[in-house]
Amino acid sequence: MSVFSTPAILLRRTSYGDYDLIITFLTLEKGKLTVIAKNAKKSRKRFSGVLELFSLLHLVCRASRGRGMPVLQEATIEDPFSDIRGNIMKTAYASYWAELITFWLEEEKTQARIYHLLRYCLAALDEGVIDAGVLSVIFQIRFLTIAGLSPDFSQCSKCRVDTDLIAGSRLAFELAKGGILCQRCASKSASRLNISKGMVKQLLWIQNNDLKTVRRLKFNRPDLKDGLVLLEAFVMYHLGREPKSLKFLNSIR
Amino acid sequence: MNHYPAPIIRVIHNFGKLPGIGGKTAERLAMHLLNAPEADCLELSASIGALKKSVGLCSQCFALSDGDLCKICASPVRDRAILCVVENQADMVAIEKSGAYTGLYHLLGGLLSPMDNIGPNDIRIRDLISKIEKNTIREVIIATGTNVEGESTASYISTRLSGYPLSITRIASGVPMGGDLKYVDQVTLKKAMEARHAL
Repeated sequence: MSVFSTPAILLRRTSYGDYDLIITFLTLEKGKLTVIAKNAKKSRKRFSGVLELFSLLHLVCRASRGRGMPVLQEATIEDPFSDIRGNIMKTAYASYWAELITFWLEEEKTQARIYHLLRYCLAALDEGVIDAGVLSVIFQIRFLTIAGLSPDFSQCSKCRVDTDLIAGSRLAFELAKGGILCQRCASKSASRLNISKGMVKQLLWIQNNDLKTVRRLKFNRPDLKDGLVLLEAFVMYHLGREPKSLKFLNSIR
Repeated sequence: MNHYPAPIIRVIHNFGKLPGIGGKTAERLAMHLLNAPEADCLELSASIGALKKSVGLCSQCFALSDGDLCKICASPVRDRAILCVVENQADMVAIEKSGAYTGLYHLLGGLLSPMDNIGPNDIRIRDLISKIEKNTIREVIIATGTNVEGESTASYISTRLSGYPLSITRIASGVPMGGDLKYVDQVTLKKAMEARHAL
């Protein structure tokens, strides 16, 4: 009977029967991990106030024999990120990120970079020093890059002219190609989104620089809105559906 | 089970649909009813029949009620200027059992949940606002749970009501009676310390 421990972020919890919970975590060592927490709903000592969405925890689990889910034995709070839950907009953004990870990642495949990305974004969201929309841009672009679906902002995806050399202040983005288009190539493309050249350069900068430095970025409101629309549409294009939390986010934003 | 006559199998099958009732318990209950006086069995079946027919929602607070108004909304002694917002009937009953509240209630019928796409239009927030606009309410107490859904719903309601001339309060959270401090989570303890009072 093997027991393992790992830092983890709680992504989703679902009731199972009268007393148990099935919980999905993003763990540092085992990637996405779904476990069962027996008697968690009536527990006053082991799990009381601990198993809350987006909390950073340290888990101790017992691996099951055969194909069953691991059983959660102990969970200790490292950071509850409690300011997120007190703000509906922050909760909605955190839910969107958690849903993307839950949907996109395979079970028990280590994804340390995504773990560190989510931890960074939740900590910054909790702290409140970076706008939630800006954090969502940072999260999505870095997440897509790690997932191997990085949009190409460096050049026109048709004529291959560098972004810096493209004339004009507005560019187009083609979802199917996952890249920008200069104005000349965009006129031949049917489905595209418009975005400012300045925003494209900022997205490129986020893709290529360290997370600690991206908090220096400043966005103007219309550019930020364009960036969010573009990235959310790109995510939906690849998911093949609209995440539930994104529908919610759009209803309150 | 096939050894029983069909009417008993039918009763066992129906008991087995209830939460927490397995095959053996269902069998035991069926055999108990078979041996019980006929009047008791008829009373049980009549009460179950009446449950669906006569229980509806109170037109004011949306609690379960057997008339247009529930007992609390119809009571002349309740303070009509205070409104306590709760998620569901069970939460309202818990507050009533405490005996610490004498105002009226508003049942939301759920909590905001981004991951399940339960938005403001899916719970009774519009009814709450309309109730506040039509009545003289002095205080709204938000008594949703302290999990993420409860806290974010409280935050949303408080934002929506911020323009109205009333006091918006949130139930306190802290150490439970008879609780052992070492088993209390750090968020609860932090809130308990922040809301400490003089003795």
